[in-house]
Amino acid sequence: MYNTLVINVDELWLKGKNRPLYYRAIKGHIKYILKREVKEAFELNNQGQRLVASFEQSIEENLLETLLKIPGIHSIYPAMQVESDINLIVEACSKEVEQLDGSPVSFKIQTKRSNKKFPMNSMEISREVGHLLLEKHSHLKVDVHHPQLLIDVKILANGSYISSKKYLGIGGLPVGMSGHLITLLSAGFDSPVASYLMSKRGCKQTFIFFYAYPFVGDEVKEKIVDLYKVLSQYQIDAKLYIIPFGDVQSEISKGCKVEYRTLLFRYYMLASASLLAQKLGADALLTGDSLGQVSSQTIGNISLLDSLSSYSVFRPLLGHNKVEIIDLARTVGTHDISVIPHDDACSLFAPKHPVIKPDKLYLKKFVEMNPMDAELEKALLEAEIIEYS
Amino acid sequence: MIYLDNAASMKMLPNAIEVLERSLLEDFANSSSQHSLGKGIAKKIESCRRDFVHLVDGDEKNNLIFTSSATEGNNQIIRGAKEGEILYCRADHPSVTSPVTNLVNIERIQEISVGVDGLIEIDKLLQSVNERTSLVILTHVNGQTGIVNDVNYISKKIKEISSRVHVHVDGVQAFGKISVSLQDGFIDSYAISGHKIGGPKGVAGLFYKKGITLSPLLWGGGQEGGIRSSTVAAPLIFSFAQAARDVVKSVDENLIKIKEINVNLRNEIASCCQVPFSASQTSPYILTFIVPGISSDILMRHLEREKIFISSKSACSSKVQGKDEVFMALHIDEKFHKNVLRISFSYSSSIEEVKVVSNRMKAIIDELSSLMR
Repeated sequence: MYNTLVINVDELWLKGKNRPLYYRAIKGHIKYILKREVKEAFELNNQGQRLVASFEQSIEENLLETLLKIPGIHSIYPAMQVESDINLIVEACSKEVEQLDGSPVSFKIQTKRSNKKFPMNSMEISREVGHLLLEKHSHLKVDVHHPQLLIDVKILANGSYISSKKYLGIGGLPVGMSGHLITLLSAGFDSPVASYLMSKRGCKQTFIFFYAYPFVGDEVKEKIVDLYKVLSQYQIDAKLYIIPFGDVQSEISKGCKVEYRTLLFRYYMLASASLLAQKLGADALLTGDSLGQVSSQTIGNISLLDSLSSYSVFRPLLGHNKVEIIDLARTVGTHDISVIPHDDACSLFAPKHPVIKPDKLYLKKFVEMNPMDAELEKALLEAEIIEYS
Repeated sequence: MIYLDNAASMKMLPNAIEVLERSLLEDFANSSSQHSLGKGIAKKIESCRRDFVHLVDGDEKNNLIFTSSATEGNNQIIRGAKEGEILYCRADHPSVTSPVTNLVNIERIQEISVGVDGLIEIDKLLQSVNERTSLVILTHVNGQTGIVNDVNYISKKIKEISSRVHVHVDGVQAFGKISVSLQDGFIDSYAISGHKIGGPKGVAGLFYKKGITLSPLLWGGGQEGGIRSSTVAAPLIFSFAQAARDVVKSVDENLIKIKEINVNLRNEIASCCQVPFSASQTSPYILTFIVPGISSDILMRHLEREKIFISSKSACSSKVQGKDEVFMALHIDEKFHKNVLRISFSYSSSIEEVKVVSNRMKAIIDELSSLMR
């Protein structure tokens, strides 16, 4: 029944001179989704500080769900747009009432009249509409302090908008406003959540997954693609690079001390991601590291890897506990995929006693002697690139 | 490509493909139709039926219905079992164990045990047979291990105790590979499968002794003597019959060739693998071996990269339990359950293929072992 969406943007008060850019970015993202999801023509306009999307017919509920995932949106009010005529306004308000199940409910009309040409003022409109609704629906009663149903009526220049529900979006900044990250994606809970957090902050992302075939099977790859599809909902045209890494890991393992394997895998993964960042002009790398969760995430290991990385490594989950991350995974929509027990790392390689306090000299020496530039380039060239929209 | 997962499915024999292609074009009518087109096909089906019965020396005492799969055949017997106890083995194929454990009341189930050598413990089995027993299921050649049970002898001994018992044999990995005879008449039903012997998928057969009643799984138009209603899949049957005739004719000569290949492979891999079941007790078409310390599916994937295909059961994950029911029943130590692989040959497998496979396997095992240090 709703033919209009009133969209409020987030963090506007931060923007200042950046406002036009900000609006362009968020409008662009909304338009991208609408073009994909809506068959009929639509309009997307600025109205004051809001964006208003108008449709020829009633919208589907899942369109609202999809739009609410766009970073930068504070909230959306689905509304009915009618001509500014009191009867049509009442009819629309009536529809709002009819949506409920018919049991006794208290309501209030809240009117804002921006169009001074309309003959009644806000209070008069509220009273009149309220009165007509009470006549029409016997189960209603008025409560101006704590109404169960609050009907919002806005009388603007181009028509009247009636709405009652507000849906909260994820907030943050529009995708693209905060640069481009290369996101190291794995099949656990962490990296997908990290990706979501940075989508919210307006980072465009390109995903990279290190596929250790033939040490792992393609069930893992399928899991990653499923995760990527969920994370794409918070992005525009994000790509997934699947890098064949089995041979690289094998090569590394042949030359290094057993206990340094996992750490060195992390180093070369960051190196590979840096290579991709360079090629794509990205700004930084993103991982799901949480401090102390696994052996490669000790403060010593993280610091060492950082010092050796040519790009900044963003780690939004450093301060999160595992339970918090798992909860967030539910919000993001990746929990049920991440929970499936498939290793993306092969237990064949895992050292029994991985190093916790690394010998910096050993590591530096090893990577100096084994830059593996050719192997990493080759792996990148052989990457399977997945685009999902 | 070297394909050595023939116990799972085999490439179709050229003759069988030719028959199938022709039949798909020509035998389009329904064999149940009353006009001459239908009747012509029905006649050819009967001729194939007689051929099959003849191939197992069953002309006097046996008949056969065509089914879609051996799974269907096994299900038909198990689901139609009369009141009383049912004996089966946990090492049997899932098309036996699954209907038994899911459909039969647990009080009725008795287990057949297998010795460390993989063979059915016959004395123990016979002790479990009595006047309460209604069905005993035997596997002629075990699909996982290749172990050959003397089903003719066992069925005879069972009948001596109680003639009421229905003895059903899963002969999927035996028919067309080792000698199969139903002449003695102690076996009441025997299941075989098309795609295991170079025939097409979607067709199989269930031999049964004349005089016994089989309960239908499918009810309808009354085809296959009312036992298996469904439009009879003539082209698939003709193709299956062609394959069966060809392979049963050459059972002995093929056996010699495959034995040689099998022994050759056993020797080649002895240094890096454990082979738990002896050559004298197993069908040479199947060789199961254990590679200690190396996950079976990692080895399988390394081989598949080189277009060599063998069989592995487990899904590799440290988070997923590896315990396998069939392996437990076969007394394979739980610690090796993720290290079991199976190679199975076809009629066209060669020594050259075995050489390539064993060389590559040894090289890969070496490489992987060095990573494990």
